[in-house]
Amino acid sequence: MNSFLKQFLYVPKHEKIPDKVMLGRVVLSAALVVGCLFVMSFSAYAYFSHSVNTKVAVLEAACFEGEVTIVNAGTNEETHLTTANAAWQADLTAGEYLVTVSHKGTASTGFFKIETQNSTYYTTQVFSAESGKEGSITFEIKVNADAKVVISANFGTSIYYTDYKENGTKPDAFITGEETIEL
Amino acid sequence: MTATRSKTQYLKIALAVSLILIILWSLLGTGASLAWFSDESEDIKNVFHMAEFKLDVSYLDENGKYATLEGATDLFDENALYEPGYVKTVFLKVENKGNVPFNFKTAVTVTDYTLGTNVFGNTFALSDKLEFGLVFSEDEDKLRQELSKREAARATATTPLGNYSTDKAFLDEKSTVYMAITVVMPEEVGNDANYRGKDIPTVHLGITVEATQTDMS
Repeated sequence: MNSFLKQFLYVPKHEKIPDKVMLGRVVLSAALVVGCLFVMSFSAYAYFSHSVNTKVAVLEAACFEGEVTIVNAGTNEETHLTTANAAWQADLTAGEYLVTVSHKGTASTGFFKIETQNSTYYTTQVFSAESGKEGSITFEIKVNADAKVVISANFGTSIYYTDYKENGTKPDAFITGEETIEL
Repeated sequence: MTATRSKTQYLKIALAVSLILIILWSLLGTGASLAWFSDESEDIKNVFHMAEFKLDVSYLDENGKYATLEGATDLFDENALYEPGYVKTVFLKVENKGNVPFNFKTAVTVTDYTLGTNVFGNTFALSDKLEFGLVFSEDEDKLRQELSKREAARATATTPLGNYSTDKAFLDEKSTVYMAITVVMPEEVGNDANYRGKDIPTVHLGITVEATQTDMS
């Protein structure tokens, strides 16, 4: 390293400056100038631009799980339900049944869809306890012959709800509570 | 002969390098001169001002006061849960407090996310179910009034949530512009976003406002 530096940077006293040394010093000066320009360009950019950032905000999803109970009105026994994909399936024999659908989950509201062999019904919204609004509704199913009923919990707003709320429109397929579905 | 040729070569190189350095220093000198002579004078005095470049961004917090955006974590209400029909609007204030005009851009960035599994057993990303919008106005009261109604705010959010950057907008010195950012989960979203299981679908969102000096020409 010393011999390298001596070769390119050292000028012996009372001697002519070697060409190699001249070249070495010129190259070193050029490199320093370029380096300074490079550094200066960053500080100039930093001075004349500015940005403001938030820390990360986390957006989280809600869920609507719902709860369903079906009770035989005659025997007062709870009917067994099989569950799959947020839906409850009940195989009902002839009789009358009280169906209660309730809010459960972190969403503020949701609704239920009731599917029978021939028809589909939609309930009104059920709300979380914090909202102070209706958290569950009960309606009746009257079964004349063995029938299968599938009840599913749904995210969002029931298709007939908005019209019902604004205009009082209530189609047969819209369940608000106390109705009887005949199968 | 070889020594003479070598010496000539060295001289040529040295000359070329010197010429380049002279040009570079001239450019430096010109730049420095321009900076030195860009001043303003007051009465009979020559007053030299350094350009002040200052961007300030704040957001309207739940108390109705503007708080600085830098490092804010509660911009979108950390207790909010997104379900169909949920609309959240935040109001920002962008101020040029300096004495040079600038151009600024606003960027919305999805920095991270957690996938969820819906009731059908399918994986989904919450960001795919959300939409957002950005609205600018110089009139704060008008902007807040227009977006105070849920339906009006919902109408401004039509872009799927993802990495997004606005075009450059000009803001003059000592000026202010107001911005509303709205994030919604459309009402049409159904059980395909109704998650089940332990993994709660989330989206990590960052907002950046960046200002750069305008072209002096």
